[in-house]
Amino acid sequence: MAKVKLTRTTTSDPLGTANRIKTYVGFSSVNRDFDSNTLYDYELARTDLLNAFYIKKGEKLELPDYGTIIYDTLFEPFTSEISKAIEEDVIEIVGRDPRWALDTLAIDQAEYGLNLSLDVLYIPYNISESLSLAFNQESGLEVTSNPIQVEQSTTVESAY
Amino acid sequence: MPAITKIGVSDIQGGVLANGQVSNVKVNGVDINVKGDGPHAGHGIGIHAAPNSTNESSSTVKAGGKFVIRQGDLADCGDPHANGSGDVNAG
Repeated sequence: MAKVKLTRTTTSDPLGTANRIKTYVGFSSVNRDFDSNTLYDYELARTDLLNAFYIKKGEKLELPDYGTIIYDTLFEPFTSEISKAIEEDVIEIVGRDPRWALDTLAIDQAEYGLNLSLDVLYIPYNISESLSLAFNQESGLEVTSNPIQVEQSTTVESAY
Repeated sequence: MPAITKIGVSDIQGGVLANGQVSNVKVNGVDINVKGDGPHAGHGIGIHAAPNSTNESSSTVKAGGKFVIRQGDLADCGDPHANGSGDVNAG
């Protein structure tokens, strides 16, 4: 019978450490001037979600159903049919990614464009975020968001 | 009972399953798909670009110590596995 001697081995690979293990890993060059281009988990999911709003439906090569119809509606009169179509489009975009849940959605007409307010929940970490998407006929899409909030699962009663 | 899915044959929305972990359990002559397998071939963008079989699986049947994935079980992108074996099923 062959004898096998077990020796303890260690690795110096810094990528193998426990705090580097993430669920979702991706790439983006947006706003990454000095750091790595690698995105993880929440940041990646947020980028994936916003990518769909930056792309006009039909523009993505080999994925004609990807993107949003909002750019096609910016020059149209803001009727209830348009509002409903945008609403269904946003619900579909958020629903396509199982990491996100759409809480509330508001669509408002603005000068030369539309403003969308979304409250979305990042399901894996239970983080909610309010996104304001300002679609403009000339400048395209501008995104603003409020600080990240962790959903409270329990309520604490006031001591007073 | 739903059909068991297979590496290289079954798919998720057209993206063929790949990167199986268990090589010594075969279904119809090809590797079985178990929980944790992937990333599989993409069928879209974002999370759909590299889906993994990490969401749903059988809760009773294992292969190589891992739960098997059946037709209809959802991948982590939220889409179901499809085109399982025609004659091998799991509960």
